[in-house]
This record gives sequence, C-alpha cells and structure tokens, in this order.
Amino acid sequence: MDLLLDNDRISEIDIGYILGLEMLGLPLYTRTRMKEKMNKGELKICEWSNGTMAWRHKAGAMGVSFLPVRSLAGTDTFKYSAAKKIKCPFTGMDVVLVPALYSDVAVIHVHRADKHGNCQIDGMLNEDLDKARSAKNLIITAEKIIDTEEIRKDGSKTVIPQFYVDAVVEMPYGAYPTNMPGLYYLDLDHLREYAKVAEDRSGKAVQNYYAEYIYGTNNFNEFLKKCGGQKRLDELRRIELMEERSDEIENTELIERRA
Amino acid sequence: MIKEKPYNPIELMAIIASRHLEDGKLIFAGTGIPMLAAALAQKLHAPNLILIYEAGGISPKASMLPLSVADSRTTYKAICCANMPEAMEMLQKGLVTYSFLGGAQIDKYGNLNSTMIGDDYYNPKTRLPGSGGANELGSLAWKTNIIMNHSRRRFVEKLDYMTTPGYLDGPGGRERAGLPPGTGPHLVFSELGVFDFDEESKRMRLKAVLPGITKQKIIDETGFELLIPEKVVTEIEPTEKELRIIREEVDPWRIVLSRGDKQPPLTEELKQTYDRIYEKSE
Repeated sequence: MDLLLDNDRISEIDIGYILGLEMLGLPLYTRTRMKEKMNKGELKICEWSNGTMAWRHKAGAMGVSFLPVRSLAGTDTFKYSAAKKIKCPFTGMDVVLVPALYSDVAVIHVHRADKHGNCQIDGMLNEDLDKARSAKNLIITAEKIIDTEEIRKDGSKTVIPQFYVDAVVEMPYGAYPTNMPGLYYLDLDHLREYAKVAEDRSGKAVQNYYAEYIYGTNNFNEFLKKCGGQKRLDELRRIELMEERSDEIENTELIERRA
Repeated sequence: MIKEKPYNPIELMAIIASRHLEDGKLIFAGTGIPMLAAALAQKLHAPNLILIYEAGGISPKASMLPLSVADSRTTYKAICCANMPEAMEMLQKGLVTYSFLGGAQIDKYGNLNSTMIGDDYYNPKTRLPGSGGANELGSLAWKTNIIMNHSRRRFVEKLDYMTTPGYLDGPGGRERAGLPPGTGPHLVFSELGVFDFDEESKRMRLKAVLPGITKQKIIDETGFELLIPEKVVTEIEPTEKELRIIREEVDPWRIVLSRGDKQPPLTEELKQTYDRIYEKSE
C-alpha cells in the first residue's frame, strides 16, 4: 500500500479497512501520505466495510450485479459508499444493495495447486473463494505444485477449480512475512521492523526499507535470505507447529506429513 | 493520584468485560482485549461460549493468543474453518449474540467513529482505518459491546464521522434506517466505568464505576450528558482467581497483556499510547 501510494499508482480506492496493521498499529507515515493525497484531491476513497467488500466480491462470483445486505444503513459509511437503499419488493422493508465487484487482477496464495490451477487451501479461507471467482484475471501462487493425480484423489479439497485460474506460480514461503496455516507463522520481528520504519513521518525510513528489501533484491528468494533465510523460516515453522507440540508429545510424523 | 495496582489496565478491562458474557452464545471477538475477555469467560463461567473470527476460524483452542483475526491460531483445533462472507452471514442471519468494538469517538447513542478526525471528510485532520468489520458487527449483532478509552475527546456530543451505527438518532432510529430490529449497543467498558443504554431514550447510562473512580470523575471526562441513576454500583476489583487465570491460562505469553504493563503516571505520551492501543482493539 505504501509502495503504491508513493509511486502515485493509486488515485481511487474502494476500501473497507486501510492503514492499520491491527495490533502493530497505524503507521504514521502511511497516514500522513494518505492525508496529504486526500487534501490535494489526488486520492478518492469510496468507503465500505469488510462485510460489504466481501459481499461485493461474492456478487461478482455469483454473476449477479448486486446483493442485498443488512449492514451499512444509517451511517456515514453508507453515505460515502456507492451502496443504494431500496424497499424490498417481497417484504416491504428497507434493504441496502451493494454492487458486484470484479477485480482486474487477483493474486491468491495457496498451499497446493496442480499445473492447471486446481487449488487446495488448509485452514480458514478468508475472502479467497469469492475474490478468486470474481477476478477477471487470477494468478495463483502456491507453496507447492502437486500432481493432478493428487488433486483427483480427493476433489472435495479443491477450493478453486482450474478454469478460474490464469496462471500458477510455485512460490514457497510466498505468504512471508505473514502466516500460512500449518506451515509457518508470521514473522513478528520483520513486521515490527516495517511498522517501525512506517512510523517515520518523513518517509525516509520507509524509502530505506524499500531500497534494502525490495529494490535491493533481485527476486523473492533473495528477499527471504535478507530476512534471515532458511534459519528464520525454520524458526517460523517451529512456532507455527508449537501448538501441536505443546499438548501432544513431539509428533515428528505429523510435522513431516504437514511439511 | 494514581495508586499502584496489582494489575494493569488491559487486565482490568478484560476482566470486567468477561464478567458480562453469558454462556452458550456466539461471540464475534476482535483481536486484543475482546479476545482476552472471551477466553477468560470461557475458563470461568461460560465454557460454551463460541468464538467466531472474521477470517473464518471458529472456536479454536490455542494456548497462544492470535495476533490478528487471520492468524493461524484462529484455526488451531477449530471446530470449523469457514470464510469471511460466511462469518459475516452468521451475524446477518442473527446467530451472533455478542460483538466487540472500539473506536476513536463514541456519542451518547453508542454510534462510533473509526474513519477520520476533523470537520471536513475530504480534508481530514487524521485519517483512520475506516470500518473494517465494525459496521457489520455494530449493525448485525444482537448485543454490541464497546471498549473505549475514557476522555472528553472520545466521548463526544457529535461524532466527526459515523462509521458504525449505535442507536443512530435515538429511539426507533435503527428500525427507521432499515437495520435489524432488536439489535444495538449493549454495554460500554472504559477504564472508568461500565455503561448501558436506557431502554426508552436509548441514551448512554452509567451502570457501574470501576474501583477507586468517582461519579464526578466520569462526568468530567465525558463530553456529553450521561444518564446517572440514583444508585450506581462499584465493580468488584479483579479477583486473584481472575488474575491468575488470565495470566497463566489465557495469555501466558503476555501477547496482549504486556501492552498494559507500563504503569501510569499518565504522561501525554503514555496517554497517546493507550489511545492507540484501544484504537487497535477493534
């Protein structure tokens, strides 16, 4: 987000939640940049909520032009959104309509995919299903490319079938520095480092971060190396699997299976 | 003025909030204090409380607290791994009793602002994250609980922006706007007191003061006219049992609790830090 803002790649955004790194805070730099851009009229925001954004993708995934929902009504969030309110033709009650959202491009990271793009994801799915299905172009990055025979062993595990997918990229640790359920935990140290540089209002610290980690590396593997490499990744894997080991005796077989 | 207490402000707020959760209900809990409150209630008096996380994790059993609503730990030993629209639809369908919210500003009807500070939306003094899931949590849960840091800057007569609905403009407001009837703000927890909403006027009312806090202090720190009943109870201090369980079982790694470890004196800098902590516990 900082990167896109800095390079003037954003002029209008439809957004439910912006700026926040949840428990890590609201980076002062991003906040200042956004405010500047809004003040100069260079950034237009269309306000939504996480639920309405999810339902807008869902409408897109369903192939309908809108969905009726029961949130948003009565607030400024409604006023500054593009939602509309009508009388439900069946019940006569007020209902809010949110328009379908079709992203031009979506990138979704999954646990496993075959070369055709059939995807398996472990754990919660967040907004993956509808974002995948509503995107005009879908890029899948996968921890591991597996054989189609593996996919065919249990089709119930496929959460995104191949015909939604435009490209598949094998990208181990592709969720880093965030977490991948069952594989590795988020790198709190690295995220804290980013939160810290984003506190510098001048933007200098953020620029230094980019220079070192993003522009200063040729590819994702070099980025990982810079962040501590395999040693750090192994630690994150141990943290992720700590729960299993805390109440069961070390079950290496289970860890291997998960790997 | 501030006495050394055997607990920090995060422990205090989480413990007080946990006492007001009924067993057997579904609860939508954000990261931070709400999660502590829910987990503590589960261990003390509400073992059948079911936690739903926004990204889809349902009723996990992890010894370490999640750092975000999409943290792996929201799925560890979960009874179900759903997705975000599903979680929101559980709210919309009326299955969820409790939600927990925070914000930068609250008014007397429990309406909340987490979007911007300033007179002009297009020219904000401060831009905040916006709704996130807050609008759904406040629109659709039967009982929305709110955790706020208490000051006149936060308990205001008029919001700069209404992100999330409380009772809107008063009695019947939610129904007129088309929000589900019978839903709305339930309790407000601050470091000074516990508040509910008058059934008739839908205005915020003092329900209990926290240990060592006077009614007058609360009135002074509130930017609108609070309803003050004749009899106001005092919340019981956190008990040894509550403190032991929240420290040893709920958050043994002090992932959330440690954020309250700095004890006042409340310098301006510390005050801002606390403000930010509460903003983050959406």
